[in-house]
Amino acid sequence: MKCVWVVPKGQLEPVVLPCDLVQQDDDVQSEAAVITHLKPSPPLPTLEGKSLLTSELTDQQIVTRRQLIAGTVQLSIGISLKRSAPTCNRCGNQDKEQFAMFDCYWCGRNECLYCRSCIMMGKVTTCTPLVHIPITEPFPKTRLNWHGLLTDAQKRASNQMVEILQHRTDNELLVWAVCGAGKTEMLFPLIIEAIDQKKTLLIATPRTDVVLELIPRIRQAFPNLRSIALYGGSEERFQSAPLVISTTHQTRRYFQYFDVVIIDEIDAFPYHYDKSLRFAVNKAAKPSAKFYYLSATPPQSLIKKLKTNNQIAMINRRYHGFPLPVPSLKWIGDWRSYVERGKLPPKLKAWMNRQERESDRQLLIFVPSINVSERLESIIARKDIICVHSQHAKRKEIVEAFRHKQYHCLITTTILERGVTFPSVDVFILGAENDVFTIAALVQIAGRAGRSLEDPKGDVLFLHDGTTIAMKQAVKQIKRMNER
Amino acid sequence: MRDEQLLYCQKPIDEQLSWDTLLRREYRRFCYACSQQMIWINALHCSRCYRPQADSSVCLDCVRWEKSTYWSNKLSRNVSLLSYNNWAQDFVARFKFRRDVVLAKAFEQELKRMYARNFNQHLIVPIPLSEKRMIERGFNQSEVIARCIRTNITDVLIRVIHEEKTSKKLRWQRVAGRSRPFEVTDRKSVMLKNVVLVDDIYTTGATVRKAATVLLEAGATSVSSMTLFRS
Repeated sequence: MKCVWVVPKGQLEPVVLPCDLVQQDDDVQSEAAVITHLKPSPPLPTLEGKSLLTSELTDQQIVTRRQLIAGTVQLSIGISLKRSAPTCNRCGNQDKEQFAMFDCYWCGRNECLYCRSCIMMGKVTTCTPLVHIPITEPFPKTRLNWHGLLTDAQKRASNQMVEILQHRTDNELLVWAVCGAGKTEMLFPLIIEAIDQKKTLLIATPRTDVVLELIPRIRQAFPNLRSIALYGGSEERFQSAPLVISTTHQTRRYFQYFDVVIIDEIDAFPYHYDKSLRFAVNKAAKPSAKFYYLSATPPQSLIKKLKTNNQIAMINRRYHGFPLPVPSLKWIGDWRSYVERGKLPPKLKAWMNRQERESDRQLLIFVPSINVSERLESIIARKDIICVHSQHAKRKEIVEAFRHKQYHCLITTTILERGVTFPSVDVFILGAENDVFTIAALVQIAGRAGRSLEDPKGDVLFLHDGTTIAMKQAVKQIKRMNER
Repeated sequence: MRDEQLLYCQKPIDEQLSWDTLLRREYRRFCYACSQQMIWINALHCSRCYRPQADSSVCLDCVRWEKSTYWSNKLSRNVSLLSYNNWAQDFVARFKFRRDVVLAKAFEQELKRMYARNFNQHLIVPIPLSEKRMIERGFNQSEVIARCIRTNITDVLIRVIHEEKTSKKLRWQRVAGRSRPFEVTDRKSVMLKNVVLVDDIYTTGATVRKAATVLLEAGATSVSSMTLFRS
């Protein structure tokens, strides 16, 4: 798409317009060129909404000449070059390796760059403009209502969150809550207050499963509030609402839009590592936005940063008041060689039999890799035992079926490590010595057990071939939480 | 510093340093999981169109093509690199529809080798896109693949009729039509030359045969085709 600098009739300031929107009496200031060469100034900080590709615009979002001239919609550069170092202005990618050059028919140059980092969301090239569109939200007219109850600990943390929104000058709060503390419910008063103040909310979480679990709970609690779920393949991907629950990847489509940003599992993969995701969340938030970080195992750097200013809310009891189940470490020898030979490790078999005999709960078995999960499923070959992992086509359905007790046992990789709740399960970790099971991961996995009031207990076994420091630290951390 | 990444799945190259690393570096463009799913067509296939099958006789599809008086002897033969399975579908989706153009480079060596072995000295002619599709997509996938083989290609075909995507048509719709969507712009350049057409996928062979028809009429001695995938 070629654009041009134009001073529209009766106006003083020049604007960038797509060539096909230029009219006869416009004062054309430049040659028709691709957007990168026109160098429009970055969008005004007051312009709220989404940044989309022209190909993503829906029928309701048709960009008109009037909007562009008035400045309520702006075109900006998709990929900007500073001394030949490219930056993708949608995802923030600056890694040269993640850009590729191609012979582009659109701009007719054979050195048009495109960003490979966010290509799955539509291609951003040097010659594609990003369209910044404002969105007006359908806020509910009356104050929201919620009739649930919070425990004292939850209430204290929840008040702290609301307080920041109301009048404190701080704009960050770490909510450090043990697994199963009832984090979702604690957010409800904050949601009510924010919506009352006509503020937009984003709940960003690293995992699709968590989005899928949160959205029905929130819709049930607030039937009057329009909320949408964004994840790869979600049908609501191009819509917007006052409350958005999104995977961190999908926040890339927003631009300075949210007043309140709640980031779930701040310590979790991939949020912790991926710089571009941090860019995405920061870009999606308004400069004045309040940030809330939720975690059961926050990284030390964050604790240090927020400790001095009393910006940590601590909840060390589960909502039902029972202590966290303490994992026990069991050595099961060289389990991997058994699995590789297509055999069930005898000690694992013994523990599984015992679990089935002595407990009424379902069983979650965490394994270190997709490969092991599939192997194990085919070795056991029982109809009520199934595996699930990130590459699994029916991932959504299987987790749902397990929740409805259609399976006795679910073999999973770390994708179910956090955020998901099953009312009554025992938890095994096969190969707990593996590097993927960090302290945080182990604490989170142990936290899957004993989450409901009806069944506040549950066995957690770390089945290993050699104890690791992470395992010992995880047990220590859980015990310490229980003592407070 | 960031680890070097594999071109397609963008996983870090995390192999242990070994003799293999030094000697076979060029082969490491796909991760283990990918290479497990890729099916290279090398052993048994139809001798005429590279359709993967149990023996190397001429397959039923080719027999049917050659029975027709109109279509027989249009295409000398087709050569393909990989079988078009689920993995290939995902690859094509990302390459063609997500428009991750650079992915063609992943097969550069194999394409060059395949060309040298089968069609050395042939003119390379990519299957063109219509103007409308070109605007929509921004690049011609066949041309990108062709330029992997050699930068000097003979881009003499144009597509004059804009048709429905062949991937959305049924076999009988593809085969029955005798439409002439292609034209040769520079007849001299193909006169008395052996030509190899380049495309991304060979499914029924209708597209390449239609292109071959006009090339033969323009005076080409023979027309063959090579594609990345064969379904």
